[in-house]
Amino acid sequence: MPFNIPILSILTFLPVLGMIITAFLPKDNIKVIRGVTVAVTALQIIFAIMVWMNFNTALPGINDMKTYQFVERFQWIRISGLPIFGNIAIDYTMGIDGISVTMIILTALISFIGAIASFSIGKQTKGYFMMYLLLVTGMMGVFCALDFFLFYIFWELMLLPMYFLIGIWGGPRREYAAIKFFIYTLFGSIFMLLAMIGLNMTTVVQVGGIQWHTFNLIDMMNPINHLPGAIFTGTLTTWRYVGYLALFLGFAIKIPMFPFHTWLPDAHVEAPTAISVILAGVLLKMGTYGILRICFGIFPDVAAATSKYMVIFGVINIVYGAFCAMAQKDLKKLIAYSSVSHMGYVLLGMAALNSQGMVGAIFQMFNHGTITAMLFLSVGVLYDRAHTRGLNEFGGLANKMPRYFAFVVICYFASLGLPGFSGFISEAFVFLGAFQVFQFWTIIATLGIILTAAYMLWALQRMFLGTLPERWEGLTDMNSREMVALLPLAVIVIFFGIYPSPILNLMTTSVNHLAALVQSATPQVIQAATTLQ
Amino acid sequence: MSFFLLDSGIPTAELTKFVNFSMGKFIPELILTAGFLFAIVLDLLIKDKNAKKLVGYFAFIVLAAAFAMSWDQLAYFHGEMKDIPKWAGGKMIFPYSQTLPAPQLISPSEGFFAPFSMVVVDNLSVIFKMIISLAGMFVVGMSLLSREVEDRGRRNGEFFSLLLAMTLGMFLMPASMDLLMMYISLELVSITSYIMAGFMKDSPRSTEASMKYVLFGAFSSGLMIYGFSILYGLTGSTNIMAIKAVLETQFLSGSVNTVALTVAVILSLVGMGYKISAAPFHFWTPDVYEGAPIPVTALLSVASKAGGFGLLMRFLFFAIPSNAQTMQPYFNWPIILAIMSALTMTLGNFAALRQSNVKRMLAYSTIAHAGYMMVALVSVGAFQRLIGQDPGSPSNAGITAILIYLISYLFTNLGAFYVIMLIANKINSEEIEDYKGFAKRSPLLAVSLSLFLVSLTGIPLTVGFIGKFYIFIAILKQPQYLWLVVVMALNSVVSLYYYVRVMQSMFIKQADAQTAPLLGEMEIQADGTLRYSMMSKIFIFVFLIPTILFGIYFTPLVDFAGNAIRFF
Repeated sequence: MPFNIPILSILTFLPVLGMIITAFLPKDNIKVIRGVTVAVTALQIIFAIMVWMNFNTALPGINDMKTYQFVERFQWIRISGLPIFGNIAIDYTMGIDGISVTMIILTALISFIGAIASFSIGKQTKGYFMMYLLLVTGMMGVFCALDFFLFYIFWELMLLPMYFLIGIWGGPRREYAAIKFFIYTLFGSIFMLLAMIGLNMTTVVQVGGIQWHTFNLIDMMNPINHLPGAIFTGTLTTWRYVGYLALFLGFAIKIPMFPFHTWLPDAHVEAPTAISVILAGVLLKMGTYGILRICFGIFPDVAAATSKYMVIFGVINIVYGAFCAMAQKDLKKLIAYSSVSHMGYVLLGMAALNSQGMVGAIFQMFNHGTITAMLFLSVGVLYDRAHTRGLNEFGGLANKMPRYFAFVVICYFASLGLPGFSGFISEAFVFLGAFQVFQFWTIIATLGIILTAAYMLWALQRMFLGTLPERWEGLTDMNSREMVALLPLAVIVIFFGIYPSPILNLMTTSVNHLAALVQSATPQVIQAATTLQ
Repeated sequence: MSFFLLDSGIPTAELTKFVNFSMGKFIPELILTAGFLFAIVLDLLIKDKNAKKLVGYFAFIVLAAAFAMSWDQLAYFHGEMKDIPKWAGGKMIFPYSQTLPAPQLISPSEGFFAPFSMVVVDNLSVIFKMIISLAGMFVVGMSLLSREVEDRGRRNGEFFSLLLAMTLGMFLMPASMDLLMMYISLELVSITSYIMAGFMKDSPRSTEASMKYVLFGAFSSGLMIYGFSILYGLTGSTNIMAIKAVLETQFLSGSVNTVALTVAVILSLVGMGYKISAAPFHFWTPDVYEGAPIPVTALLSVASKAGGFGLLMRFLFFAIPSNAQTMQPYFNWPIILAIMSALTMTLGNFAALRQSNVKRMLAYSTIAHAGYMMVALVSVGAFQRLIGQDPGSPSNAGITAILIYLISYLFTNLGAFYVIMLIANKINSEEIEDYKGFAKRSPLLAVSLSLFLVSLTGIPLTVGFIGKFYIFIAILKQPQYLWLVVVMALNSVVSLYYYVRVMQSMFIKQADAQTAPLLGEMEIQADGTLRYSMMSKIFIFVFLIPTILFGIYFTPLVDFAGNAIRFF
């Protein structure tokens, strides 16, 4: 770093500062309120770029605290008077490696885009932007936290803002959608909490002659720190399966993995455009990120033993999501289901447990973030004008809104994985990785590509080709604010489609390390090790 | 007590010292007793009905003094402790002995071991006293700002004097070492709370609440005293330490009458379960909580429940012996409690889902919270090593957890009730429907009520999360109760739904024609928000600041509650 500043904390807590400033602004000064949020998120992009520029791609991170970058570590809670609980140590530990850096760049980008897309919010603007900023803090914190307790706090911190953002500023069925989102996520995270406590009881580090039960994720990954006889000690014990599943459940709901996906279409359809963008762009990634960082990192043995089931769920997500998308008449719902389908590729890539698959998965996370953000923005553009999203109600829009059509073509084609767009690269990596391990399921999953092309092109055809219904004669093309939101994303999608190395280089070292970690814990390897002894 | 001492052959001069010593340790209770009596006199002296508030201020001072004296009794075990060396006997009044010798002088100035004592002062009871007196202070503050109480101006005085009497009873509950003392303290609390529940005697709801409370209370305390009598018959003693010793010999020799013991313990649990509103003895709770004035509801839901838990803990931990090798209680009460707690929280939460009245909903939610706290008790029972002071014993985790939970619950639940009271002051309604669009009427109240509800759900950065967190830690140390952990986890999710409904009503829904009108036209300020006095706004922060602060930095809270495991 050029300056020795706590850049991750700044990235995370800058929005809180913005929120406090917003709180003191007069209610009707909408321009300034918007301005604060846009400024804060723009600053975040600058800081994220600084992180990117100063990121050392040679350092793996994952389960090695020394190779994490931009690390900040402060003591937060130390409870040593109560031996019964063990001495509990909770630290404020922030740090990033190749997996999280891509997510941080994505979060900063999508937050900024979302802030611009939020300009159309008409009522209670002040409350909206305060909630929005709090949400951004939660998202950023999740990707930076290296202490499980801190991670959990950021994870839960997003719930309340998200509830209100959907609940107050959403569509007609917003109350139902908001509470559904809230309850689903809390359901998952309460089991995550239990697994976290179990891990805390298991993990012990010696500091200054005292045994501390730590929440540090990296310490939890090291079997040496596991207390003999504690519940998650050992390899492939029943308790480890239980712990893995408890964590996995929490993350799977967020992804959302079939059969926990039903909150997503509701939340997406009801949420305002900007929140849909955030939801699809960043929030869903927290699930897969959590699996990579926590499930794979701490329970590599169980991850390796259960990947054959994970791949099935991934394939179900891909195919089932695609079929559901095809059946939709509401454009936003279609895109919501396409999210389910696309997150399936991430699951598939992760389940492969090899470098190609995981690189593909993380890159797919990034790409899905940018592409789906575009898709939702494009829906928002239309909805703001027409106040309907019915696919069959439109036709021939291509001539009426040529600029809009151009962007829509870019994001639809990117979404269906056309070569030249970033989605193609990541999907290719995913299939490359997955085919080495699960031939059968990968072949089934490729069906998803065809289905995606089908529903995307079909939607494109219904809306943009043919004749324009008379009622839409008055539609205007995109305005400059909407261009500002969409253009950067379009550039990114095309740029990384042609030249993906900058992003891929960021993560390769870390992913190789993680893949090696998980591979070294496959049942075969464990068995071989025991026979040797 | 005294006749044993007289028989013991200790010189009279020493006895005087003993009595003086004991009385010295009884100061908080004496303050309350004197305060109660003085409050009655004060009430009679004050003629002006607007000046009756003075009794309230007086009660506040008495409670604060009792709190301060209790604080003084607390023996800090780690850090700079005040008197560890003397702690073994020095901090107990009317102390007990496990082996029932004659009363002995340990050190002339500091303490005695005396069998057949009635009340004990140890950290557990002291922390309970602090929680209770703090709750009492908050409730006095609430009452002073409550329209329901204020409207009955003439009878304000008796309200506060009754509150002091009730606090006295609640002080004695967790300190009781004798079945008779347990019964008397429980009745003292019950009888005063019957009157306070019916305080608004002009309101049918309040009268009905009081009546139901009396009927249920009389019934369950009757069952409890019956259980006690069987216990006495089995052991020949009313002192719970003596009972424990006798039961232990009976268990070892195999001469125990299991059927009679089971009946006795279950009957005793009826009375205590009624106090903490545990299922299936909870039926009075919703009606009483709904009918009683809000400050009384708040007091019942926090202080009275805390006292009940103190009593329950004393009884279960001290009267029922454990196997010295396995550390399992001879009589398997943890499983009874586990089933009860699962039932309590599930019933409480599911019943709360369908409520349309916030007060009634919170009543069911307090039932659910009692269920969570009972989970912590189960974790103590599943591995019981209390006497012997092994700080590493997992059973102690549960005791700490339950106190952390009670403290978190104190701030959160009282805060929630307080805000609801402020809202009711203006709209005279507690219906969720009438909360529609309340966020616009008073953003501060709406936001703080939401934070309290979030804390009750147990979402991080609030103290409620810390409480749940520690209960989970305590019970996860007992893997055989994993099912209970899962039940509790699922219940937390269910509880979210009804708490969020209140927020939904306040923030998302808009006020319409059906929404309750304000009590007066003068209530609205220039900017369209409701007018609240500065005092009532500041008082919110008394609850709100600890709720958030302890949620972020909970070391002091845990350390404080950790003192409780140093008992005896």
